[in-house]
Amino acid sequence: MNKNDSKSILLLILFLTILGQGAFAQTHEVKGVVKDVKGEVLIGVSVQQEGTNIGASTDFDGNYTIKMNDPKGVLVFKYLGFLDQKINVNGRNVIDVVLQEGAQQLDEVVVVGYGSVKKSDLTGSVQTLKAKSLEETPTPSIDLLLQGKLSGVRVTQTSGEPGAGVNIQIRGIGSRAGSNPLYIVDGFPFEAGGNLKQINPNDIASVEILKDASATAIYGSRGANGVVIITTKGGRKNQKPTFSFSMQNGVQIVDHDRLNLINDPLTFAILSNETRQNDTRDGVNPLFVGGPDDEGIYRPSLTEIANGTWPHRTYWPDVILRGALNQNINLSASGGNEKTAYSASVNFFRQQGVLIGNDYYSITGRTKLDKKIGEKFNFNSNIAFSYVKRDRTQSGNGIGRSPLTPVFNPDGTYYRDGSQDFFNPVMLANEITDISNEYDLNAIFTLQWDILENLNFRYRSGIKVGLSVADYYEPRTTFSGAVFNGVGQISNFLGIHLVNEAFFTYDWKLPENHKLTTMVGASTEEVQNRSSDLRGEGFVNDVLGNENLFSATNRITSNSAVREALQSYFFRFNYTYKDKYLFTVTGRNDGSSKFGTENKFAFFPSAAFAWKVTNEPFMERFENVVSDLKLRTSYGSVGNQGISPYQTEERFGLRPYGYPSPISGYGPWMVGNNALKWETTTQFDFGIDLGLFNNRVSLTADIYRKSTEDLLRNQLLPHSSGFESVWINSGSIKNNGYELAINAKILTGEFKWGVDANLSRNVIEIVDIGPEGVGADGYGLPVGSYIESFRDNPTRWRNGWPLGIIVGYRVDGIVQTEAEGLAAGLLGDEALPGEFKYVDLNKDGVVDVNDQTVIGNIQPDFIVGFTSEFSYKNFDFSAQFYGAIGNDILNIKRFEGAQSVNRWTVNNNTNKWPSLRGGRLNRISDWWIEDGSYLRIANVTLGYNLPPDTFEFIKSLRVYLTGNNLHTFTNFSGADPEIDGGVNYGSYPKYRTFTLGLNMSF
Amino acid sequence: MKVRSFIQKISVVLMIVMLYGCSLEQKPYGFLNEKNFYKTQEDAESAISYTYAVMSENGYFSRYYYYIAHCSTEEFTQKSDAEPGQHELDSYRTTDRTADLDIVFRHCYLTINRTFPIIKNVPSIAMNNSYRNQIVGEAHFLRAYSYYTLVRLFGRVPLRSVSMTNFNEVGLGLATIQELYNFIISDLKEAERLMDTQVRVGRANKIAAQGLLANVHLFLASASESGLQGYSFADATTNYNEAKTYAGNVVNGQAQYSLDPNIFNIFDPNQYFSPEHIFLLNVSREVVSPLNMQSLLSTPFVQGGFTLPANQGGYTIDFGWAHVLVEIPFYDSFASNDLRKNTLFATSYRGVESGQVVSYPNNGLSRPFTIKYLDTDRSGTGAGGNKVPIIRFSEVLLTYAEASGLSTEGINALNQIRQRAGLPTYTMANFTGDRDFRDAVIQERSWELAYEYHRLFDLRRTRKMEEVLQTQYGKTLIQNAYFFPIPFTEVSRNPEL
Repeated sequence: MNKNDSKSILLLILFLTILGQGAFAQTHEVKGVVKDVKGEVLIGVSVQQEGTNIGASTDFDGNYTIKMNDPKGVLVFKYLGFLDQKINVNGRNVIDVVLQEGAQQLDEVVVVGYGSVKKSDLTGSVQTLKAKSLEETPTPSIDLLLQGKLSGVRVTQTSGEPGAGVNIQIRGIGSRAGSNPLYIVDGFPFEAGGNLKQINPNDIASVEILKDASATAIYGSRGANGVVIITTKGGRKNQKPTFSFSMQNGVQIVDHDRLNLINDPLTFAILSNETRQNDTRDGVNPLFVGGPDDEGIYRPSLTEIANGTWPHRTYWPDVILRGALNQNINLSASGGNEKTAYSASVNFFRQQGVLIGNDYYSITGRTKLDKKIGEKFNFNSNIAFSYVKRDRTQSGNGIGRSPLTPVFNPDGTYYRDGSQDFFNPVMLANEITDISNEYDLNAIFTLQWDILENLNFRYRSGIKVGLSVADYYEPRTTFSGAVFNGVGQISNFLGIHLVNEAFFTYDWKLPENHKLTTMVGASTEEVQNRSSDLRGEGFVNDVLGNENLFSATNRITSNSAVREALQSYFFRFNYTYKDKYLFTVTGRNDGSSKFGTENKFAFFPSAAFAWKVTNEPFMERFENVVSDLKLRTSYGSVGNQGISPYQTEERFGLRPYGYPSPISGYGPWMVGNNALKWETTTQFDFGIDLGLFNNRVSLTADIYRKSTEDLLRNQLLPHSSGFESVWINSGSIKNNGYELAINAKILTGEFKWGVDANLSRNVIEIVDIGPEGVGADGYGLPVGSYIESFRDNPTRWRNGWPLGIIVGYRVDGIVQTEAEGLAAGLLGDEALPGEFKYVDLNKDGVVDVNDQTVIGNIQPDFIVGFTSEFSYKNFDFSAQFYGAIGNDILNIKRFEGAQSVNRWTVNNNTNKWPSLRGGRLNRISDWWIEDGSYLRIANVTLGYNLPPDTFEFIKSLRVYLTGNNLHTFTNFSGADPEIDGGVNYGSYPKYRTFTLGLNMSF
Repeated sequence: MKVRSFIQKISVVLMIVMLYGCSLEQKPYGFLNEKNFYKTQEDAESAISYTYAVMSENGYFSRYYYYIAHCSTEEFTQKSDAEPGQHELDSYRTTDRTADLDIVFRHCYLTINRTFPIIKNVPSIAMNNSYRNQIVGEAHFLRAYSYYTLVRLFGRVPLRSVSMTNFNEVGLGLATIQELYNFIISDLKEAERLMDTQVRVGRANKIAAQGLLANVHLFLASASESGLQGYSFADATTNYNEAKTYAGNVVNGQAQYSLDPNIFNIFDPNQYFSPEHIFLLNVSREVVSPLNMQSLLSTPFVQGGFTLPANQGGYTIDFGWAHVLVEIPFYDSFASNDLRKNTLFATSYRGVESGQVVSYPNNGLSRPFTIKYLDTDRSGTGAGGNKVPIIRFSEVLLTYAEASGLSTEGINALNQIRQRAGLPTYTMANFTGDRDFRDAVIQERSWELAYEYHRLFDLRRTRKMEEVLQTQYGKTLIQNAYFFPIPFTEVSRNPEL
C-alpha cells in the first residue's frame, strides 16, 4: 500500500463517518464569523454544542460551520485569552459572534523553565508582561522597558548613553558574585545582562519574571538572582499570512535647567578668582586679572568681561548637546498552514546620543520555522542575528567648561585653554575614534517527539556566536595621543556558547481528581570566550588612524581565553488534587567547571503548595465578590556560580624586566582555592492571588525571606601574605521583603479606565561578610574618605548593617572663626573660617578617621510603579510612573556650578555652604548626602486606532504619540536622581524623548 | 513489550544527549604555575626578573615610594590636584588609610613574596653552579631590601620568611625591630656570600650587598645613638664599625665602581654605564602603561616637549606632568656654585613647539625641576624607562665618612664628594667632634642624594625631623614623623594584628 492509497482510505473513512452522522441524527447547520471587539477575525476558536461532543473551529477567515443535533441547543465559543460565550441558537442558521477579552486572563499560558503552565495553576511567584506594554517606546534593549512595571524588580539605567547598561535587581542583592538575573531567551540562556541589545523588542511576545525558589530552582545553578524568561513571537499554524510594519520617529531633549551650570561669564570669573585667592598653597593666584597667566595666555579682567570687551561667551551645552533623533523601523511577516508555521522579522534602529559624537545603530533579524513531520515529530528552528554599532564619545566632560573660552581659534583649529587642556569637547567628539561593531548569531533548534500520547520528548540544541571588533584611535590633539604620538587599538572578541538539553514530559494516567505531570531532563553547556587586543603607540602622523598598527613604533599585543562548562540534571513534578490543591516539586543537580574538584556538583531542590480557595464549595456564596483566590507558598534553594573561571588554581603573573632586551618574568600572582563551592540562596515565599468582581480587580501580594549562605566572595588577604585576594565561600546576606501588585478595570464601558500599580520593599541585611576591610572588593585600597577620591566606591559592606551604607563624617555647619575651628578639633587649613565644621564624634579633641559613622544608605525603602490607561472609542491614553522612596545619594557635584554661588564669604557668613577654596580635600560627610527619592513620569502615550474595515487591505492601523521621562518629582539637586550605585558623579545626561509611532498590519 | 521499547527509546535519546557532555575539568589558558615552572636556568632568570620588575612598578620606586620619600621631606611639594595621599604626606597628616603608604607597604611584600619560590626551588635546578648561586643570592638581597624599606617606613611589621602555603594561615604578628634587622642582615650576608662581582645592569651583585650592609649598619648605629624608639638593642659603636667595614670593602676593596668625575654623566639618560652605579633598576618599556614615572612626575608640562641646555645633555624630553614640584627653600639651600645645583636642576629650557626659551626665576618658569630622572626615549612610546639608581658609589662613600666619624679617612671621603661638587673642602679644624662632623655628612647627603630616597630616613635615624623640617623649613609636623602607621588594610585583614 503506497501513500496515496492510505490517503484515499483515510478520506473514505472520513466520508463514511460524516455520512454516518448524517444518517442517524437530525442536523441543524449554523454558520458565522467570530471576531474580537476590534473586528479582527479570530482563527481557531472552538465552537461546541453544549452537552455534546459536537464541535468545530473557525478557519483562516474566522468562519465556522457546525452541524448541531438540536436547533434549540446552546453553542459555546471558547478562545484562549477571551471570555467564554454561550449562545442560544433558537433555530438560527447564521450567528456572528464577538468575543470579549478576558478581564483576567486566567487561562493564559505562562512560560516557566522547561515548559509552561496555565496561569491559574502556578504555584510559584511569576510575573508576566505581554508584548503590548513593551512595543511603543523606542529603545535599544528590552530591559529598560521593564522599569516600574513589575513588583520586586528594580531597574536602574546606568547612563543616558544609547546602549548603556541597565542594572536589574530582582528581590534585592544577595551576592558578591554578581546580582544580575539569568536571562533565558526562547529556552537559551544568555549570560547575565548586557547583551539583550541583540533582541529586537518588537519580536518579544512576553517576558516572565521568576522570583521565588519554586520558580527559579529549575535553573538551580544560576537562579539565585531571579530569572527573566523572554519568549519571542512566532507564526501560528493555520494562520493567514500577516505583514506588519511599524515605525517610530523620536527626538531626545536634555533639560538644561537641571545641568546646574554657571551661564554668566562674569560670575564664572568671580568665583574662579575667589577659589584661587583662597587657595592656601603658594603660587596659586587669581586668573582673571587682565594679564597673561603662567603660560602666557591672556586672561581678561573682571571689568573686561563685564563691559563686553572680552569677546568670548560660549554656552557649552548648546555646543555639546543636541536635539538627538532616533528612528525605529520594524517589518515582520508570519503565517502558517496545518503543518507549518513561520515568521520573519527585521528591525532597524538608530539613535543619536544627546552628546555630539555619540551614535548607536543596530539591525536585528529573526526567522522562526515550526514544522510538523509526520504525526509524532515537530521540528522548530529559531535563528536570530544582530549587528550593533556604537560610536562613543567623551565630549560630555566639557559641559562645565569655562564660558570665557571659544570653541575654535580664529584659524579654525580647536581652541586649547593652556598646554594641559586636551578636553575641548568638540575636538573629543570629532577626533577620537571609538567605535565598536558587534555581530551576534543565535540559533536554536528543537525537536519534539510525541513518543506516546502522554509522553513528550524535547531535544534542544542551541549555539550563540558573538563576535566584536572595536576600533580606537586618539590623534595628537588628545591627551593620550599627545603623550604617545597617536594611540591606536583594535580589540577582537569571539564568544561561543553551546547548549544541549533534552527533557521528557509525562502526564500520568491517574484516577479522576488526580493530575500528575513529570518533567525530567539533562543539559550541558559550554562557554568559550577568546579575545585579543592589538595596540600601537607612536605613529608617523594621524592620517591612517588605527588602520596600520604595524607602523607604530611600539606595538603591544595581548590575548586571553576562558572556558567554562556546566552539566545539569533536573526534574519537576506537578501534582493537582481536585483542581484545588497544587503541589510542585523541582530539583536540579548542577556541576560547574568553576569549582574545586570535590565540590563541582550541588543539588538545588524546591517545593511549593498552592490552594485554590475559590474552588472550595464554601466559597460559592461569595462568588459574586471573590472570583478568584489562591494562596501559595514555596521553599527551596538556588545557587550562584557568578565568578570568573580558574579561581581554584594558582596562577602566575607576568612582568618583563630589563632594557633594551627585557626578560619575561614569571612568578606568584594569584592564589587558588580548590575548596571553592556553590553559593546557596534559600528562599521562603508566601503569596496571595486575589480576584474580585469577576476579576475586575486583581491583586497579588507576596512576602519573602531570602537567605544566602556560603557567599562567594573575594577575601582580601593582608598585604603581608604577598597575595591580594582569594575567592572563598563565607558569610551570609538576607533579603526580606514584600511586594504588592494591583490591577483594576475601573470602567469597562465605552469609556474604559484601567489601573496597574505596584509597590515593593526589600531590606538587605549583611549578616556576615567577614571583618571590615576583609570582605570588601576592589583594588585593595582603603575606601576613600575624601570626595576627591572619586574612584573609590564610598559605600561599604558592614556586618549587621543594611547593604549600601555610606560611611563618613558629620558636619555641624561651617567654621566661622579660626578659634572655633581649632576648638572643634580641626587642624591647619581645615580650621579656617569657611571650612566644614566636622564633628569630633568620639570627643577625643581631634577630628580623624575614628570620627566617621554611617551617614546614609543608597538602597531605597520602597520602589513603586503606577500605570493608568484610558480608552474611548478609537482613542487611548496611558501614563506610566515609577519611582523610588527613601534612598540617599552622595552628591559629589553638590558644590559645583550654579550651587557654588551660595558659598561662604567674609561678607556672607552662611552656616550652610563652605567657602570656595582651591586645594581643599573634602572629607566624605553628611553635607554631601541628599535624599534621592523621586517619582518619574516615565511614559505618556496618546494613540488612535483606525476602525477596522476602514480599508479592506489594512487589518489594523495605529498611530500614537509618546513622551518618555517627561518629568521627575524630586528634592535631589543634581541632574538626575536615578543613579546606579548611589553616587552622583555627573554622568551622561538623561533626556526627554518624544516619539511619533505608526503600527500597521495587512 | 511496549514498556521495553519505550525504555529503549529513552535510552537512545539520553545517550545522544550525553555524547555532548562536556568535561568539568579546568585547564587554565595562558597561565603558568609552580607545578610547571622552576625547571631550567631560563626559568630561574625569569623568576628573578619578575622580582626586580615589581620594584620598578608604580606601587614602589616608580611612583608611590617616590612620593613618600620626597613629599614628606623638604624636597618636594605637589601640584594642587594631586591625589589626597601626597597632600597628606606633604602636610604630615598621614593616617593608616593614606593610600600611598598602603600601596608601598603592599609592594614591599609583593617583592618579598616573589623571592620565596626562588630561594626554595632554584637551588635544585640543574644549571651553572655559580650562576645559580648568584640568582639565589639576588633573591636574598631583594628580600632584605624590601624588609629594610618596610622597617624604615613603618617600624615593626609582620615578618614572613617563607611562602604562605594555605591562605587560611595569613595571620602574622608584628616582629620587633631587632628581629627584622637580624633577618635583613642575615639575608644580606647570605646574598654577599652567594653572589659574584660581575656587573649585570639592573641586577645586584656582591658589591651591592656590601653597600647595602653598610647602609643598614649605619642606620642602626645612628638610630641607636639618637635614641630612636625601638633601636636601643643596637650598639652604636659596633654598628658604626660594621658600617665602616662594609663601606670600606666597597670604597677600597674593589675597582669596578668609583666616583664619576662628571656629575651629569651619572644621570645622563643615555650614559648608563657610569662607574658610579652599584645597583640600579633597569626598567623594561614593554608594558602598556608608563611603568616608570619619575621622569613624567618631575618634569614640566610643555606641549610637544622641551629641550634642555647643552650642559644638561641638550636632550629633548617629552612633556611631563609636573606632579611633584621642587620646593624653593630646598633649592636655595644649595651653595650657589654647587655643581649639583647647577647641573642637576634645570632652570631653563626651550619649548619645542613654541621655540621660546623660559627660565627660572622671573622668565616664565615658576620653579626649577630635578633632572635626575630623565627619559629621552619616552617620546612616542609612553612607557617610561628611566633607570632608578638605588646604590651609588657616592652614597657608600658618604656612609664610609659618617661611619668613620671625625677622622682623616672620614674627612677625606667627605671631601671627595665636595670636591666633585666644586665646593671648598673641610679640614679637621672645621669640626669639634664626631657629632658635628656627622651632621655635616648628613647635610652633604641631602644635597648629594637629593630625590634618591634617602633624606627621609637620614632625618628619621638622626631624629632631626623637628629640627630640620619644623625649625629650619617652617613646616608643621602633625603626626607620624618617625614611623608611619601600619596600613588599615593590614590591621583589618591580618587576624594577628
